[in-house]
Amino acid sequence: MRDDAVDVALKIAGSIVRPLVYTTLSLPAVIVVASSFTAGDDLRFPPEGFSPRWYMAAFKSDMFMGSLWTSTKLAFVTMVLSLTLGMAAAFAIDRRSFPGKHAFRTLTLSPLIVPMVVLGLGLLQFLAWMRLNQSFLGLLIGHVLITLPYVVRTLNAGMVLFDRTLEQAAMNLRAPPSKVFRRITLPLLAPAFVSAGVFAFVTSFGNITLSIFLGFARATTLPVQIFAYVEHNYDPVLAAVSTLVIVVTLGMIAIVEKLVGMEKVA
Amino acid sequence: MSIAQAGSAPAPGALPASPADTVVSLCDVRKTFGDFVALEKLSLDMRKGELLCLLGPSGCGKTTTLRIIAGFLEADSGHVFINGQDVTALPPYKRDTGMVFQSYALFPHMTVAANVAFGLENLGIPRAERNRQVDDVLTLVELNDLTHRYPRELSGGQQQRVALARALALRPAVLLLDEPFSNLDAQLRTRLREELRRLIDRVNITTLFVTHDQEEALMLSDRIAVMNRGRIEQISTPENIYERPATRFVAEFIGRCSILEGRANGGHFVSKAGLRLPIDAAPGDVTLIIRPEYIDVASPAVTGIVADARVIATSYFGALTRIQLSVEGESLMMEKHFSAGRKPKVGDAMQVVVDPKGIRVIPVSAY
Amino acid sequence: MPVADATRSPVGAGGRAAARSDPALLLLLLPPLLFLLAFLVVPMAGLLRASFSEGSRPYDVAGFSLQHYARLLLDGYYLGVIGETLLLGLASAIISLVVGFPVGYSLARLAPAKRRLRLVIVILPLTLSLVVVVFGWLVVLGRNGMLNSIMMSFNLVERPQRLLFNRAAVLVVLIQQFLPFMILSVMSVVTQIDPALEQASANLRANRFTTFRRVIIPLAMPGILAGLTLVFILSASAFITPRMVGGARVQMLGSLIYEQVTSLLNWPLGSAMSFILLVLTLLLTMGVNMALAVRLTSTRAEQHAR
Repeated sequence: MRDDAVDVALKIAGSIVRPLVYTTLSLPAVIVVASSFTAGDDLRFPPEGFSPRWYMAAFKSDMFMGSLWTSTKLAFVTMVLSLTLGMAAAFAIDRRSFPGKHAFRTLTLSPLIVPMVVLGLGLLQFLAWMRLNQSFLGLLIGHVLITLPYVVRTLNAGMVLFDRTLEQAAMNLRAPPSKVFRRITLPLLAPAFVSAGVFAFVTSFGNITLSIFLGFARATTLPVQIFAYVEHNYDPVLAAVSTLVIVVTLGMIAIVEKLVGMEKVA
Repeated sequence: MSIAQAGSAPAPGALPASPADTVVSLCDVRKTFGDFVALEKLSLDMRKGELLCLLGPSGCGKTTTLRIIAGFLEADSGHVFINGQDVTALPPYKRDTGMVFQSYALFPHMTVAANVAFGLENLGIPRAERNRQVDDVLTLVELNDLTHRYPRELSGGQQQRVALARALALRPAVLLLDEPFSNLDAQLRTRLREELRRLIDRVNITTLFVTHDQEEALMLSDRIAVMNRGRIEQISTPENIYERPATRFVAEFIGRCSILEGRANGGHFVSKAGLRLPIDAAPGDVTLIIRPEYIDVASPAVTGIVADARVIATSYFGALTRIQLSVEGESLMMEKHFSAGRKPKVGDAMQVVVDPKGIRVIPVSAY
Repeated sequence: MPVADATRSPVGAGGRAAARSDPALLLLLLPPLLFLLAFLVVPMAGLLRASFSEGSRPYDVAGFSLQHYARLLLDGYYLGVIGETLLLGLASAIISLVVGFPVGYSLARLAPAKRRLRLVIVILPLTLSLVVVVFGWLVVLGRNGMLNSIMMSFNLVERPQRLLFNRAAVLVVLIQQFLPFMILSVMSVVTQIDPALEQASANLRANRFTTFRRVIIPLAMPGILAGLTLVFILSASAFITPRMVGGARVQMLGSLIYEQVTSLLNWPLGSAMSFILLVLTLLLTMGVNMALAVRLTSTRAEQHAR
């Protein structure tokens, strides 16, 4: 079609900007993975040769493997706690009426709007006052705090879409409330649960800002370890470790994609 | 191949040879979506001032045709002419059409007046003149007192009038209506149909109307193009379409009818089940179409072909009762008013008379 | 009957205002509520309190003094940092809008099959650890990194350029980091705009540009504002990025707070900075929300016609 000049310009601009954006968004991750396979001694792109030596180095490093274990443990416990608290909150919001419900809902989502450095410092001072700073528990509290909003939001969205008449049908078919919950409600809400759980895990696993503030002297999390390392050194073992993080994250996201689809998340 | 009435289809590439008052002309337009053929070599001419209806079941290609004229779809091949100009390569905003969408598509962030003025602004009409034209067209649709309202504050019928006004404000060469009544409830629909017809007559604008509702088509159109599977089966006046359907599809899609398949040989017709009727037709396989109003209960006063029948089913519709009859192995349909207590019952035997003027013969080659 | 008895059934209907006599509700409500009050509200209050402290050391919350705020708001250096933070935040927000809007719009209008892959690419950076993403940029922009390698091999430069540790690099990384939020925000709002409106606009003689200007953008405004707000807040609060990518040369409020807390150990000053940051972000959010509310009831649109 013979379009106006300004429309042609728009089309051209669009076809340049869009691929550029997609490329830029994928660039860091791709580069990190690529340069982790270098056979050389320093971090460069394109990498020199192809070798898994830096992965060996990473796996041999107690420092990195220790922090990997810490991160995984922390993320898992965070996920469980966050899901529990979040489920309670989501059920209260979705299925009950009480004064101040709107305020409560806002409260559950508010950790999202507070800048993380502010949260970090505030929590650090509070935990220090409670003698809980530099402890696993303190770190855990912080992680649950920042993952709670995602969990509540995801579970709520799932509940809003949930068809109550299915529960009524089950009751009509002589199922007592506990059975309805177990056989109907929970299974149908499962995708939302998995989705929320995975996001809690991934958010906790990758978190750095809060984790630095609530730092834990005896064992650091992996992202904090990477951050500390990169301040003084700059070698390919970082790329290998970072790739491990990418793999773990991607793996979890793939689970969500399979079960729920990306659209529901966004 | 399409069966056109007045105005022949021009050869591909040539300017339309039709009379000078042809407003819209489609020339061998073909459109496919992947493997699906939406339109097969469609040709169509619209005369100035006429209201043409594209009628057909969903998937027949009527909406596709509308969108190709408006420019939202590009034909795979063929040409579109508006007022003699080849617009096939023009984007929609360069075509002289005014469209009313099924959902009305009123801009929710603009008032009624702003909605109507939108097109005029894009044409560069200065403000004072624009306001005058907006007033005029809103007066036409009787919505002057609602100019400052937003679409969400209006009823369905009012929204439709705004959508109409918005399209008419540009005085387009052709008005395109995409199933404009499907969003409204039945009573409103009937009233608005009449209002629409009056409005279009008053403005005397060439209008193309897409619908799947045959009642609407019969009532509103100057001509109807019955479409099926990407082609036009028949294009003619409503009376012609109803009384003289060109194909079996048209006969079955519009109104109700009885269908008899069989063979004609000179002066007789014999149906597959063996029903004989004295029909004059060229020898060969034929399909007979009989509208239900041409079958009546036999009485001395009525002349025609008499036959013995048995009642299979009855359906009551108030003003008339529809009776399904078995006549010598064939199924015939009769519609007639029976006063209270006189309605035939299932299983009754009766004599019926068929008016030969109501029997339409369709050679099977025309399917 | 289970349905009528909200206490016994977790499957109660949502319309009963029987909060006080409903033990199940309390069981559901109290844990998250107490958690949030204890670990969100109280620490924030503590932060506010600490910012008015007389001392300048960790755990110091004695007395009352405005000295920290005075320092921040009157000292040229700190004002400069606040200004830099606001500037980078604003630039990041605006550029990510310009770049992200086309992507968000096209995602909204794309068929589901094509949309999936692109959506994954958009969401992925959000889920990766920030430190990994920023590290990736270090490799891209570093001395031996991708960009330098490409430029050298095309003979655009003779020596590797110093691309890192300046404002532009920080801005680029900030934009890339938060672009997905903008894209998703735009996508979400454009999805709600009926495509028929764009067709109607074209039928009314508006070319694509005019359609964007007069139909799509006004209707997408809530999403645009939400995206701008979000990206601004996230960018202004950033600390890892300016620290890793900007080094000592680019100071933002976030990295300054980190310094105060970990190396300078002046927690009260850090608290004051945090509070200023918090107030800025809250003010912005509230301002945008109010502007949006006003828009919905405005009569400005009708001035178009008259």
